[in-house]
Amino acid sequence: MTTSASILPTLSPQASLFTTLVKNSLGSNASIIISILYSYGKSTINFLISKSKLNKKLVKSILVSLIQLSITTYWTDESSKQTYYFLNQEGLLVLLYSGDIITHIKNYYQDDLPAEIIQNILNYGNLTLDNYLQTNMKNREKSSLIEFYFNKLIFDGFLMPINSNYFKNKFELYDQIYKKKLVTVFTNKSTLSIAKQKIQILKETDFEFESYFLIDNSSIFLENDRFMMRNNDYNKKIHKRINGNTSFKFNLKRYLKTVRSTHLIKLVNQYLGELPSKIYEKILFKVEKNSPNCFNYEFNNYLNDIEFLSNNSKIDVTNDGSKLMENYLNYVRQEYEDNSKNYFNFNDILNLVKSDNLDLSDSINLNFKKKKRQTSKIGKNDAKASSKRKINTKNDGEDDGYNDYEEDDDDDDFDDDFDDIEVDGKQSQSGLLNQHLKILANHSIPFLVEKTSGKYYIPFSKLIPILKEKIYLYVIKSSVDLNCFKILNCIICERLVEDKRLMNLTLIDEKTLRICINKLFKLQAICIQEIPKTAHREASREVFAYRFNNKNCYEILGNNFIYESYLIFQNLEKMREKNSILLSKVNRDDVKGQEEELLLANELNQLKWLKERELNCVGRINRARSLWDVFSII
Amino acid sequence: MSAAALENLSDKARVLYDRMSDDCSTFYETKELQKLINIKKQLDLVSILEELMQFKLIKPGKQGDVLKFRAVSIDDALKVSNMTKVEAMIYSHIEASGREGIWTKTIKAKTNLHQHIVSKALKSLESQRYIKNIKSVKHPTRKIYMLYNLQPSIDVTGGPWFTDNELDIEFIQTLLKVIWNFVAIKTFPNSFPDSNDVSLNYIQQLYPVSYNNYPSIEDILKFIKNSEITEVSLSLNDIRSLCNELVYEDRFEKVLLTGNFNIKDDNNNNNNNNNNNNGQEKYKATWQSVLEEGRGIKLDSNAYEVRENKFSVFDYYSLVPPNQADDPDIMYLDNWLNL
Repeated sequence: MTTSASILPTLSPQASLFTTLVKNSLGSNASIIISILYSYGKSTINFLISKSKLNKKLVKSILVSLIQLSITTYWTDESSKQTYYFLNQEGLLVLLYSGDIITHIKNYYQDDLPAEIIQNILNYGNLTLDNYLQTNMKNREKSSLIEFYFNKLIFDGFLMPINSNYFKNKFELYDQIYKKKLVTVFTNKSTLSIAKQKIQILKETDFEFESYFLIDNSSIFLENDRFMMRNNDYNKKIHKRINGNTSFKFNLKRYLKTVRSTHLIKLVNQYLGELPSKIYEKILFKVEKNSPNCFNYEFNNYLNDIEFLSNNSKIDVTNDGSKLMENYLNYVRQEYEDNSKNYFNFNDILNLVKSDNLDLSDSINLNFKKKKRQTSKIGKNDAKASSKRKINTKNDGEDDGYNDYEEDDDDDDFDDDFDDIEVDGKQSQSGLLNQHLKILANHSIPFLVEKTSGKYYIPFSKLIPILKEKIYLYVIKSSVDLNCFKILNCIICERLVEDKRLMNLTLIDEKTLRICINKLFKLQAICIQEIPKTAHREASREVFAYRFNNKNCYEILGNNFIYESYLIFQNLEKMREKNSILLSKVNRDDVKGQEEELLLANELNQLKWLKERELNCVGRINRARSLWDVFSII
Repeated sequence: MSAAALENLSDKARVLYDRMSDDCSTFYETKELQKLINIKKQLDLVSILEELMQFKLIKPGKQGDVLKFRAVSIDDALKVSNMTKVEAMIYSHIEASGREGIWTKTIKAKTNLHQHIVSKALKSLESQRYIKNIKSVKHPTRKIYMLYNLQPSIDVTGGPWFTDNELDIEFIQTLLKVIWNFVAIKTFPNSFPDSNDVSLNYIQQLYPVSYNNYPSIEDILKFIKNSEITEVSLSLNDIRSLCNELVYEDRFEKVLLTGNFNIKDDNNNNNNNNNNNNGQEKYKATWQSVLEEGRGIKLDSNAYEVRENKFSVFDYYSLVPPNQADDPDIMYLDNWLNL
């Protein structure tokens, strides 16, 4: 029997945060529509009008903007000709990440122009090149530079071409194709078994579903038209002319891959150090574009669709509908798994390391045979600090025991391995890089997998669960207690462990253990499993074992971070309202830039305090969001 | 009763006792006893055994359904024969409990005697130094007795980690720190400079992947013994539990044998871990633990370019300031859960 700590709060923290976010960015009317879609799911325009008490024209114009920004999707039912509107997490996430996206693009290209392009596309949702260039018709050089960066952004995957199907609800589309295929296949008298026919239907559905979003290169680029950048600062590579009528939007999935990379780099930094993390950064830079999409984001996005469908009587989610959903999610999962093996060669990384002048010299120690053994008095000093009678303090001579450790002399076997590192007594960059890659591949955390000699891939599907587990543990360590961290880590290692064994393994006294278990249980980090010792389950003789509750603890912590961010947003709003007079004074055109002269001393102090608190709050929201990324997005 | 008391025994009883007392711990079946003194009739043996029992020179016992007997040393027999019947009964229960000891309530339940009588008998036995009172780590409030000449088992004392029946956290922490330092120095060369000379450039170095001279449990034990840090005698298992403790703290990780480890084959990995027995399993320190100790920081900032400083919870020890209680924007881990 497994016990869960408490019933989950019903209020959706995402709903609270995203409604606030939409209110701040798009106004209160848009936030009303979002909150209705959050509460009721799939809705018709009449339903939205009746619930929001806004007029039809306004609701329509809001929906157009929201669809343009990918915050909502629509679907017109063929039979009833009724149009439904759905909430789309993608647009909301773009709103949430917009600041970071622009900064990332700026850092990625080391230029303001691509960041400006992305900022404009984020503002409008999607744009064609012609629309964009209309404002720069007179400045030819800037126009070609814009086209150059459009090319680069498309090539790097940050911009994606779209067609009208992108605004439709994907799950409804999948459902429609599936049902059509079902009818066609079963009406044709086939000799195949039912199971095989179902597989065939699924394959055909997947194929057709993909074809709805496929945009071939001929519609993106003008095939026979090329141009070359004349500016010496940029690559003199010939670029294809972009079709001015194709719409492009920001590719959130591509950006989320960079978010995932940041967390993975930090994980390498934690376990192996700064230089290996730099090398890993290069590897991720190489494979990021073609790496699998963030599974959680995909999964959650489709779960939203399922949630909406459960509110709809058209599909019975408990019967046929649930099977369809399962198939649909398997389709997403399969896509994720299949792409996980994106290989790269040793030489690719060597070239990147060389071009970035990453100095690897002396990063691998080969002198361990000759090296004078290092001594340190740290350990001895620690021992001396102890007042317990069990620790000896009398021996404070030179012989502190660190010297007594004799290393084995069986290193000769490994000499051959170092031939590629040392050439004529100097360490070669390629040999060192090879060692670093092997260290990454042989670590207990599978940062890399060496498929064949010199050919590696990053096992994302195995790495992400480890990353989540480690980050969860460090949140506990930094915010709850070191003992809780230790106990939870022990429970994870042992999988199922009872009180007494836990006490022996962690060397923690019973009282502390109980306090820690209580804290972890409250956070729903662990489940308690009852192990009855007697047939009649006598309470006094029962033993309780603990195991890591990884099924929902990540979601709970993620939700908590989102809820905390929402509270801070609220605090910020209250603070701005409270100081509205001062803020409106500061925002006046005649005051701007002359605050020190026109404001009183106490007003200046108050303004300084406000700005500091605002900065502090934004910092906290970003930190909370970066942790939420790990548990809910990547 | 003294050795002279043996003289009161019949010849056959004396011979049987002499042969049985060669090894007082061995239990004999009746058939074996018959062979020892060459008698064929079981009734004859019964009378001899009764005689020995009368002088408390043998003790009956049961192994499964078979009744067996073992010799009692003359000193013990003398001791028991001088006791009152109640004392002897209680003594026999305490003796049977061995190195685990027996709780006074269990004695009371087994003997069916009044509390007062049991307490009196225990006091008498304790004053004669036949038994002693011990404290159990598992049950600190219980009054437990065991024979005076026996040493309590590790289950009762809790092993080296307990002092006066309390977990000696300071002792454990000190040993953990010493072991961590020992292993960390062997894991990251150059990260523990002898001096704080800032002019030296300490670049983080790693050992090559085939390096396998990371310290094993045996090495750590040898180091602890040689350094004479503690007088407490530690075993390989004690060191193993300390190393595991450091693994749970994420300051150590087990060294995987290179070449055999492959994430595609999880069974291999498990086998490696299982085969690492007899003190051969090796450990290395994590880089995070080095940073948390305030070490391993490169002193030459030009060695690598400045990293983009993005937030990571792994940097909590250097980044996250402690929250103030009066902070209006304080974040909690359980706010949403407590709604």
